[in-house]
Amino acid sequence: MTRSRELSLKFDTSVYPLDAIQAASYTFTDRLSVRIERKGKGAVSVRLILKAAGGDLEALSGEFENELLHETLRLKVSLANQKIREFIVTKALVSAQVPSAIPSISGEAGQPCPDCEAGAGSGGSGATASPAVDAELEKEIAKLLTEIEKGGGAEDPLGVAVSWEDKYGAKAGKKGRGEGKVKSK
Amino acid sequence: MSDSAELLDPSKFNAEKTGFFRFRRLGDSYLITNDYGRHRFLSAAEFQVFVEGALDEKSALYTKLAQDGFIRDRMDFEALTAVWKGRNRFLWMGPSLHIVVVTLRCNHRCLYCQANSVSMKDTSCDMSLETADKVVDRVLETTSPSVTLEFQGGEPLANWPVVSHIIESIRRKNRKAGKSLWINLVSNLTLLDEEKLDFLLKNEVNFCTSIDGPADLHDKNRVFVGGTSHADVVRWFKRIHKRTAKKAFRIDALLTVTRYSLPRHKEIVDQYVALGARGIFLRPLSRLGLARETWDKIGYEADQFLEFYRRSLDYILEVNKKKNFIERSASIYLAKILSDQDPNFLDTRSPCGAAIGQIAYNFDGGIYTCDEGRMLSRMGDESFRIGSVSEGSYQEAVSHPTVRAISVASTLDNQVKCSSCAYKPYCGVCPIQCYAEQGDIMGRMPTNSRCRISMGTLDYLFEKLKDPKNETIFRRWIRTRQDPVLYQRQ
Repeated sequence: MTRSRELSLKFDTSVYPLDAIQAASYTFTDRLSVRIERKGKGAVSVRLILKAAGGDLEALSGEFENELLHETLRLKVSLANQKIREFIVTKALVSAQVPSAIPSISGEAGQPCPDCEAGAGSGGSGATASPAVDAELEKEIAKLLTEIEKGGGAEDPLGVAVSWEDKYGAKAGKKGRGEGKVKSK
Repeated sequence: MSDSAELLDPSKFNAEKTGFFRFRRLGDSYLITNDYGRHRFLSAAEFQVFVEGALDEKSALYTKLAQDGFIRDRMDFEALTAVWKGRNRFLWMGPSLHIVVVTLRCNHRCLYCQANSVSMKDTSCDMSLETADKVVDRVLETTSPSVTLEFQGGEPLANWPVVSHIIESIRRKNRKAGKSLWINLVSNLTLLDEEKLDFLLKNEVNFCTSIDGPADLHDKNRVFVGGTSHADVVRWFKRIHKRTAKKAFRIDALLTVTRYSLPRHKEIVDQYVALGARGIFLRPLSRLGLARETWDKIGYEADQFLEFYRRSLDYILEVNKKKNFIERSASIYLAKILSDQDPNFLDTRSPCGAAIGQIAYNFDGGIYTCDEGRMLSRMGDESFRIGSVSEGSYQEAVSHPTVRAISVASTLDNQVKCSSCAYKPYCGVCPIQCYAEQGDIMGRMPTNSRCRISMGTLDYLFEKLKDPKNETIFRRWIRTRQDPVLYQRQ
C-alpha cells in the first residue's frame, strides 16, 4: 500500500491567525515542507509534504493542528502583554542611565504602567526615588516608548512597529492611561 | 519540538487577568515561564484555568503565580523591572573575557581541534612581545570593571616568554586601571615544569585543562606527539589541585564528548571524581576546525549526545548522595532557573557575548568577536574580524557592524522560535555556530543541532526538578562559586 506523502488542511483565519499558522509551520520545517496559500477571504490552505519517506503524515498533521492551537494562544498572550513588557524593559534600560533611580527588588512602591490596565504593584517598603529622578525617568521612558510607537525606519515589513490599537482598534474605557500616555499613530 | 496534548480553547484566554507567559508541555504537566525567569509546573487542568484567568484568588497556586509575575492585575512593575535588570546586568558591563592566543603551535593533534594548530617547529604563528604589549593595553581599555584574561592556543605554554610577559605586564598596569583581574591558562599541561608552575601560582593564575576520561579514551581523542597525554595531565592536575587548595584560584578540567565517549559515561564521571574535581562539564562537539573533517568518525546526532547526557546526569545525581559534584552546563542553566542571577556564561545568554562580553586577540594582533570567530579565521573565513591591536580604536572594534549583526542575531527576541520558547529566559544561541552549521548567523532552530541539545538538556533538567530531592542537590550546585567559564579549544 502506498501512503500519501502530502495532504492539505484548510483554516479559518478568524479562528487561527495567519501569524500562528506560519509559526506552527516553521516548527515542522525539519520534517515537512509546508506551503501556505490564501483560499479566498478569511481562509488559508496549508499543504504538508513529508520530507522523508516512511514518516507518518497523519500523525504529523495531528501534531500540526495541536501546535497551531498552541501558537494561536502564544500569539494572543504576546499581543495582550506587549505594552507591559515594553514598559518594563524600557524602564530597566533607561534606569541604568540614571543610576540613582535603579529600583530594588524589595524597594519602591509600584508604579503604574502608562498604557495598560494592570495596576500598581503589590507594594514594597515604600521608599521611592526622588521626584526629580522620577520625572527624568518618566520623561525618558515616554520618549523611548514614543520612538517605539513611531518606528525608526521607513519600512516595517514585519509589522512590529504597529501598535495593538492600530491593528485591532483601541479598547474603550481603559483606566490608568494618565501620565506618560503614548499617542497611537 | 511539538507539544502534542489535549488542548484548551485559545479563545478563552483572559487578557485582563493572565500575564505574559511562555509554555511547553512536559509529560503530563505544562511548564510556564516568563521574562523574569520564573517558572511553574501546572497540570493540564490548572493550565486551562490559569489561561482563562479563573484561578481561585485565595488558592496557594494563585499566590505563587502572582508572586512570580504571572498574574496580570497583580504585577509589581518596580520589582519586575529590578529582576529583569538584575538578570540582564551583563548588558551594562562590556567585554569581560579577553582571550589571548599567544601561539598556534601545539604538541597535540586532538581529533576535534577547533584551533587548527600548527607544528611545534612553526614559530611564525607565535605572538611577539610587541604585539603582546598592545594586547594588554587594549584589554585594559574595556568598559567592564572586571577582566578575565585567558591564554589560549595552540598550546600557550609553547610561547612561555609571551605568557609570562603578559602576566607581569597586566598585573603591573592594572594597579592603575583598577580592574578586578582574573588570569586563566587553558593548557594541556604537558609543557609545564616546576619553575613555570611557581611563577603561575605566585601570580594567582587559574588553570583549565582537558581530561576526556580514562587513559585509553583520553589518548584516543587527544593524540600527543610526545607519548601519553593522560599520564602527564593527571599528574599535573593532582599537583596543582593540591597546591591551590583553599586558594581563590585553582584548576578545573573540561571534557569534550566524542562518539568514543558515548558508551562510557560512568568511567568518565568516575575519573573526575577520583581526581577530586569539583565537577564535570559535559560539552558536545562543535563543527569547527578539525572536527569538521573528522565528524564522520567522532561526531554524532543531537539525540545521541542527549542520551549520553541523561545517563551521565543520572549517575552524577547518584554521586551527589555521597559528595557535592556538579555538572557545569546544568549549573549554568540552574542558576538562571532557580535564582534571579545570570552567571554570564557568554555562549548561553541573549545577546551572546561576541565582542560585547568577550573579545579574542589572535597571535598577530587581529581582534575577533569571540574565540569561535577566531577559529573561523583559521578556516579562511575572516567574517568575524573586527580590528587589530595595531590600528583603529577599542571603540571602533566593539561598535563594528559585524558586532551589531551578531548582537541582533543572538538576541532571542529576534529568533522566530526562540522568542516564544519556554526556555528563552535560560538559553542562548551562537551565531557563529549557526553560520558554520547552517550558513546563516540567524540559524534555523528546528533543525539546529545546538538548539536540539539545549532543548533536550533543559527538558531533562526540568523533569528532574519535579523531584524535590533533585532540587535540593541542584540548589547546592548553584551556591557553588560561579566563576568565568574557561574554554578548552585543543
